[in-house]
Amino acid sequence: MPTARTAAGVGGVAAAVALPLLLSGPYHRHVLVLAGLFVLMALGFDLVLGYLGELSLGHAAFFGIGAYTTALLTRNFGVPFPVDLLLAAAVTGFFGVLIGAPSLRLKGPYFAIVTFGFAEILRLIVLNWTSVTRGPMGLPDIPHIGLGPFRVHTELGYYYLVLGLIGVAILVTRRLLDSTVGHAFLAIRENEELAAAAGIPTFRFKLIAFVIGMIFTGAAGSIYARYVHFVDPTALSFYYTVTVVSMVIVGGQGSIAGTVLGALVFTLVPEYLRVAERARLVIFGAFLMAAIVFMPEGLRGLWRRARQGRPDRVPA
Amino acid sequence: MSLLEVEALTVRFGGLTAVNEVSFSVEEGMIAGLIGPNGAGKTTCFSLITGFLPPSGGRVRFRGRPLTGLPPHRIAREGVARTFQKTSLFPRLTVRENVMIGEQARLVPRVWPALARTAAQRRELTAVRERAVDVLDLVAMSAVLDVEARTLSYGEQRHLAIAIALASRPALLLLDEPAAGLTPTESRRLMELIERIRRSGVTVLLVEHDMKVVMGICDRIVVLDHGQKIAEGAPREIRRHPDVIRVYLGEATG
Repeated sequence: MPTARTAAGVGGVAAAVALPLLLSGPYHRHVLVLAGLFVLMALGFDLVLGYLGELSLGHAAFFGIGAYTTALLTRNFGVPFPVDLLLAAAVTGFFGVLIGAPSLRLKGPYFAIVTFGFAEILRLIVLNWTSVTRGPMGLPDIPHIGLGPFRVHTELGYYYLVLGLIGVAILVTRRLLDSTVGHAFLAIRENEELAAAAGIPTFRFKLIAFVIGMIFTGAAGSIYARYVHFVDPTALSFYYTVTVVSMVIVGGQGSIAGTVLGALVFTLVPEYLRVAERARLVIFGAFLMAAIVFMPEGLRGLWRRARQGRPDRVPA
Repeated sequence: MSLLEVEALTVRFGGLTAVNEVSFSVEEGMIAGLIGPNGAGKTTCFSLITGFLPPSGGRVRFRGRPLTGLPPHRIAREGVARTFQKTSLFPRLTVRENVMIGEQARLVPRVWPALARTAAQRRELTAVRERAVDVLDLVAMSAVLDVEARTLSYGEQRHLAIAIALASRPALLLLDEPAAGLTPTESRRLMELIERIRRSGVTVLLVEHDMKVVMGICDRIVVLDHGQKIAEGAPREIRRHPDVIRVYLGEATG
C-alpha cells in the first residue's frame, strides 16, 4: 500500500514541522531537539543492528567523535557551518572504516565486545589527552551556527536543522533499501554464508552500512556540540549506547518508523516522567521490561499485528 | 577440457586429513554425484570448491581458470552456485526477494546510483524483479511470490534454495543433500527438477545420501571414504564396485 505509506509519511512530516510551534516555552522545544538528535543517532544505529543484524556497543564513541570534531574545529580554527558538520561527518566516517574494517570480520558477541572496547579506549583518550581535549573539564564556548546573515541560536532553529538532517538520513536509508544495495544488506542479515554464495561481497557491504550509520551519528554529535556549546567525555559514555540500543530494540529494529518511534518514546517518556519525581526511573524500568516481554518485535511489530490481525510469529 | 577439474585437493584440520588428494572432473551437461558414508569429506569438498574453506593443497579449475584462493562471492560470479545442507534461504524475506538476491551474482550493487535513484538503477531493479518470476516458474513456485520464506513447507524451502542458486544463472550448480528429509513423493519431484535444470543447460554436482536419487539421475558418481576417493564411474559400475560395497555394507568375513 504505497499510498497509505505516503499519506503516513506526509502526516508525519507535517506533525514534525508543526509540533514545536504548538508547544510553548523553551523547555518543551529543548526536549524536542534532544529527541531529534537521538532519532538521528538511532537511525544510524539501526543501519547496523536492523539491516546487518550486528549489535555495536560502541555507538556513543561515534557521537563523541562528531561532537569533538566540531568543538575542536570551531574553537581552534574558527571553521564555519556547514564545513564543520561535513568534516565531522567525514572524520566519523573515517573512524567507521578504521573500526569497522577489523571488527566487522567478527560476528555476534565478538563484534559487540570489540566495538565496546574501541569506545572505551576512545573515551579514555579523550579524558586523558588534556592538551587537546581539556580532559574532564570539556570544551566550552562552542559558537552558535552562523551562515551568512542567518544565525541558528534558538531551540526552534536547532529543531528544524535536526529535522532536516533526519529527513536526509531517512531518504538515504530508504533509497538504499529500495535498491540492490538494500537487498545485499538484508541478505547478509538473514544468512551471511548464503549471501556470499550468491555473489555478494559481504564484507564490503557490511562496511558500507556501518560507515553510513556512523556518519549519521557523527552528524548528530556535531549538531549537539553546537547546540549545547559544550562537550565533555560523558558524550562518549556507554550510557548513551545503551539508550540507543534500547530505543531501537523497543521501537522495532529494521524499520525506520519503529526506530523514530522508539527514539521519541525513550526521550520523551523519561523526560516527562519527571513529574513522578523519585519514582521516575522505577516506572521507566517497568515500562522497558513490559516492552521487551510483550512486544518482542517492538512498537512497530505491535502496530503491524494490530493492523493485520494475525500473529506476527510464524512457526518455523 | 572439463567444466570442473579438481586436482589432488587436500585439507587438513590439525592431525586430521579430511580430504586427501581427491581428484575428479565434471563434464559439461552432466549430473554428477559425490557420495560416501558420513564424515567422508563430501561437504568439505564442496566448501573447498566454493571458497568457503581454504585448501591445504591441490587445485580447482573451472572452465580452465583457477578457482583456488578466490573468495566465495568471486567464485559465485565465475558461474558456480551452491546450496547448503541446512537453511539455504533468507528466512524473513519473501520468496521473490530471496530469488532477487540470488541474481546479485550477475550485477554489482552500487551505492551512488542507488542514492541518486538513477533511471538505470530503477530499470535494473524492475528487471531483476521480473526475472525472479521466470526462475520461480522453473521450480513451480511462482504462486507464492510474496510469502515469507520461513512460512513455506520444508519441501518448498528446499526448492526455493535451488531457485536462489539458479537465479545467478550458473554454469555449474552444487547441491548439498537436496533430498535430505524429503518424502518419497517430494524426492521424485526433486529428481524431475534436477533433470529440468540439466536440460536448461546447467551442469549439476550433488552430494546425496538417498541412493534412489543418486542412482536414478547421476551420469557419473564419485565415491569418497575417509577423505579419499575410492571409486568413480557410472551408477552401474559403482553399484558393483567391491570397495563401495565394503564401505556401505561392511566387509564380508570368512
